[in-house]
Amino acid sequence: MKKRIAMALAGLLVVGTALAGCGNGSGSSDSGDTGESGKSDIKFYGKVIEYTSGPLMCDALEEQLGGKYNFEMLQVDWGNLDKVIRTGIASNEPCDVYNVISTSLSNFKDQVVDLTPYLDENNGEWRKCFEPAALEMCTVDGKVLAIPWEVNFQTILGNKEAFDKAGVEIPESWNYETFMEACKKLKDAGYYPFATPMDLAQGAWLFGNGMLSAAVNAGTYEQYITGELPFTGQETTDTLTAIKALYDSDYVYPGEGAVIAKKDEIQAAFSQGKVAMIANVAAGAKEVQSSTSFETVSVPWPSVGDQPAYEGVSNAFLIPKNAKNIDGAIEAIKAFTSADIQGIHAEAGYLPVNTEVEITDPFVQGLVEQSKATYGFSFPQTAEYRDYIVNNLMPDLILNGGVEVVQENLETFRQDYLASKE
Amino acid sequence: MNARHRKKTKILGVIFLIPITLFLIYSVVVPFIWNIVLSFQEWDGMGEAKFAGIANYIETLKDPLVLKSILNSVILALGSTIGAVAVGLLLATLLFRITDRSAPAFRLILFSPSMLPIAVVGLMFTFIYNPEMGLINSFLRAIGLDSLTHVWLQEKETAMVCIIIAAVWKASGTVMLLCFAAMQTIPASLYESCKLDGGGYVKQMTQLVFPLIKPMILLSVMNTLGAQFKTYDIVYVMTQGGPGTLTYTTPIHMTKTAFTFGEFGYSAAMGVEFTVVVIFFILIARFLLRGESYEF
Repeated sequence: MKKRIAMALAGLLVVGTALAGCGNGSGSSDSGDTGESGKSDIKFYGKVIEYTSGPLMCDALEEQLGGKYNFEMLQVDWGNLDKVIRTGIASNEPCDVYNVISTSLSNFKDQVVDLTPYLDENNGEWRKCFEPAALEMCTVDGKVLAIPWEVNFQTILGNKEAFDKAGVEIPESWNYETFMEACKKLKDAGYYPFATPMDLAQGAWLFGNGMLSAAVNAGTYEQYITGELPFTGQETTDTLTAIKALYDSDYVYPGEGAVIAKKDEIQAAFSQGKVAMIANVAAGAKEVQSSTSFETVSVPWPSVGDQPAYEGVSNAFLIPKNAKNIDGAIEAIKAFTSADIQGIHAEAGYLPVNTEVEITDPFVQGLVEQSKATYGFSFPQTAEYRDYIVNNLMPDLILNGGVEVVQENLETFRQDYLASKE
Repeated sequence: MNARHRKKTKILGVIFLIPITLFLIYSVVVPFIWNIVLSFQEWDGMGEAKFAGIANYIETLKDPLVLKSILNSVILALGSTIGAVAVGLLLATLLFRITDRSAPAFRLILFSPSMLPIAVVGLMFTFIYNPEMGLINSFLRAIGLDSLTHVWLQEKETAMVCIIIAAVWKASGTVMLLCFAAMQTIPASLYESCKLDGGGYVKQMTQLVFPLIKPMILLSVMNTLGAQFKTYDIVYVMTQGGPGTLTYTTPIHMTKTAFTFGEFGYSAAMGVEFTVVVIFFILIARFLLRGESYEF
């Protein structure tokens, strides 16, 4: 009798465990549902812990709207942004707000909410808070698909002592010829002139900035951004030749391993005073500046041609069409991009996108000045093209064949892009 | 009565197995079958999936990058498995000889690499291999062997070998512990008999211990081979599959194809082909290490 009771209890326990494991969690509610407290839920994939201001801005958002919404703040995984968004939307349980880089927006154009009507409400009250160029970066086929909260571009940070010792004056802008002359003087003074990390998309920034400036200076910018400019042309040849010359002249740290040098190694070498200039994203520039024992200055990126032109991207928020709480998401984004919360970002030394925020730090003001030469558009970046320029362009250029091989590969991507448009 | 009791025990056993069986069906069998179905479709992860027949498989056979990534995965898996098992077995052999109080300390030290997160191991070795301030090149320069310095993770001849070394360092601790545990189950009388027959330590190991622990060696090989074939993190942390596609492995290629390029069907087809390759090598390993198992 006892054994039968024991068996029955054991069987009930097993079945109960199986049901509990297979069933939904009883405590969780779908985003958008109103819980017992009367507040609806928002899943906010926008907590950037790499920025000192990131958690602070999220805290401020929760403080502002916490009475109305339950926020689930999720940390942004930069290396897997597209993957996270894609899988979230495919699962039909996406976050209500996703952080995205503006260059990837075209990959999601059919799956995200068109935010143009919200920007144009009340005579464009919300739209007036942003620089037109920043909103343009988030516009695909005439629709604003994401709201920018930061503009970013790649800048160069320089060791002022190294420049003084080498007798090099930092100009307001320079082309690759004058940049190479400066690199020679820095090398003769005992420094590695330049360093750029492979895990911060060195190929994309070097080629992107060079190609953009080459096209702007040649008057072929419109053709370039529509994909009509062949990569076998003079602009591309000049750009790739200029970049290759930097590496072949041994001006890029650490010399032979320059193609695979990572951000940590390069920043360590810069802090130790071995490298005179390092490429860094503008958003992280203030942090690097604060961590060095010497004076760090912002240096303009060299151009192919005399007119400077830099690729700019924005970090922005998009809302999937199948998000559970679209209205709540809009309200959260409005609050996050307001002058109050953007002010936290500016105070920490980053570049806010709200035009009403006042910037007092001279270093950050210098970066803002540089940002005026940014262009929001470049060659249409399909996933395959972006993967090539981020991961394969530099190895192909420096290790595996040179300018012609890269031009051939880029031209293949351009032809594929044009074929897909037809 | 006995038959009834056995039947009851059997029923109870089945009941207890139901939850884990359901879990395995849900987490292993269903995704496996779904992956095979997906490999015959075209799907970008968001829209509707379209039937594509065997187009994905034909595409993978024409794509040199698929073949390159499979070859790299095979080299990585075989190299790191053979290395880890050889090193693990050697360490277990040496450890077995230590009989005093220092033995547990040595076991802990030798097993500690296996306890480290794989990303930490990858980062650590990236710094060791750094061409400018890494441990290896700095040591070579210090002893006047500048000519032997390399850009270890950039050069064709050394990049994959360096990743294999890091993987061996991580995996050998587990193999060592498994083999050591198996050695301890062998009765002392067998060692005594071997000694009386004039067998030294090396002879004891090669002619007595290794044959007796062959099933455990086979288990270590199976575990390590399976783990190394699907390894993604250590390659990603150290080289991201680069420079270019030099150290591209199948898991990296599959992940990129699915989640960056939005070609889930193509990625699934690669996965099916890769599964066939992995099964082939596991069967070969089982054939080579076949033998009897002994009970003491």
